[in-house]
Amino acid sequence: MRIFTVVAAVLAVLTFGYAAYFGVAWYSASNSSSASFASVRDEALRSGQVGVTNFLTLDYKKVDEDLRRWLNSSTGELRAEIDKDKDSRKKQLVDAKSVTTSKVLDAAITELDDRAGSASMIAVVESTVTPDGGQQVTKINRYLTKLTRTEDGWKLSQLGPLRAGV
Amino acid sequence: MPPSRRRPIPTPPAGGRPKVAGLNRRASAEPAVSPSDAPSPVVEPVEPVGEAVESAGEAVVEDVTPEVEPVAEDLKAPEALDWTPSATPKKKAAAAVKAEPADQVDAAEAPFRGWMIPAALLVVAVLLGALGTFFLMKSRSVSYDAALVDSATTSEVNGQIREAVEKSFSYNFADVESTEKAAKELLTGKALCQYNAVFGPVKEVAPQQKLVVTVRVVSSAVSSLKDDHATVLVFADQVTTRTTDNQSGGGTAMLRVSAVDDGGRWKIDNMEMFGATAEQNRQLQGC
Repeated sequence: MRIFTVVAAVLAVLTFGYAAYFGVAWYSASNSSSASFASVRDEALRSGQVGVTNFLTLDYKKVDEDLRRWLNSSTGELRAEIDKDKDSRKKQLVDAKSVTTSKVLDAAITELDDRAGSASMIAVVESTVTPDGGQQVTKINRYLTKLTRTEDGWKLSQLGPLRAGV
Repeated sequence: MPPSRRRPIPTPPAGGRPKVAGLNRRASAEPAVSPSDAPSPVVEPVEPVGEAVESAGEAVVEDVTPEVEPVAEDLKAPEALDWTPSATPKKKAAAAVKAEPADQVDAAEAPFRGWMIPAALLVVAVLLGALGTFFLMKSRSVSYDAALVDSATTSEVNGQIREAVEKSFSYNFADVESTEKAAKELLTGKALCQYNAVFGPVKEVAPQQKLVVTVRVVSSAVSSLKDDHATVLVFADQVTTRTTDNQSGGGTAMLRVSAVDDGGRWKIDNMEMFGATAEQNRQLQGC
């Protein structure tokens, strides 16, 4: 009888060690700096894609809404720029009388500084421009954008097309 | 108040008799063990004959054991204090008394207690084993894309893919071999076929027009890196110069490139072009 107790106790101790070891292994694996860096990268990429889509989508009939969305998706330099000549930009957009819709075909983070909260992203964007009463044109363009982390998540601080010969 | 107390006392006797009897028993048993009487009867049998000892000892044991528990619970402190000194002289007897009932208890509860502990431990072990296996599987399944996380490999992939794209898509009519050699070395599998589909037409007209094609990667980023597979987004500029009349044209290209680690060298094994013409896409998909 005693032997069964001893064997069972040893088994219990061994399995406790086994469970404890892999419990710690799981915890440390899912909380490692690598795993958290990867999730920061994914978050920046997702926010960047949404931001780029927001910036490249506009409707001359809803310029105010578009501008507000632009301001919401941007920070720093880019936001200041939009905020500064909001009125002239608005007039320009209304006069252009076109509707542009865009979607990101692919994007990737080129650099990521988790501590500084800054990242760079490149994106391939398909934009469809429909002029008022005109024929729609679809174009594929490439963009480079800088992202900055704010209290409300990652936002665009720079956005520009990568033209040939840059 | 006093009358109300008095009344209940007479009524219980019928039901209360056992209690009274129990109390009486204790009372009657106590004097037997009490300091004055106890030493003499116990000590006496110990010295004379063994038979008497056994019978007397057992008798004492039986009387004492039921009493010990109630004594601790019910009896007053002074009585317990009185009793203990009496126990000290007969330590041997007390030890024997304790040993005997302990064995009896073991024998009585053995089938339960004997198996309960190992069984419980076994259940615990099984549960812990299952938990450990769950943790093991969870810790194995924690996976994330290593792009940028593994910065060394990321920059290695990035650099080698840039080089592969630039070398295999740059072309000089005067040095066809180096381009073809680069393409064979840096591309693999499906990508070789795709390369021929895209670059074949260029190669045909190149010698006549004395074409020089220069491809430069403007920007690239590793979008995915898992083990020995990687995906790279490549932005390239292409400048084509016809040396016959020095006419040059340029274009941009956006490529999604899949790469595999082929013995320390990252090779392109698939290419997707963004903004490719319908014909180009057809050619690429034909592979």
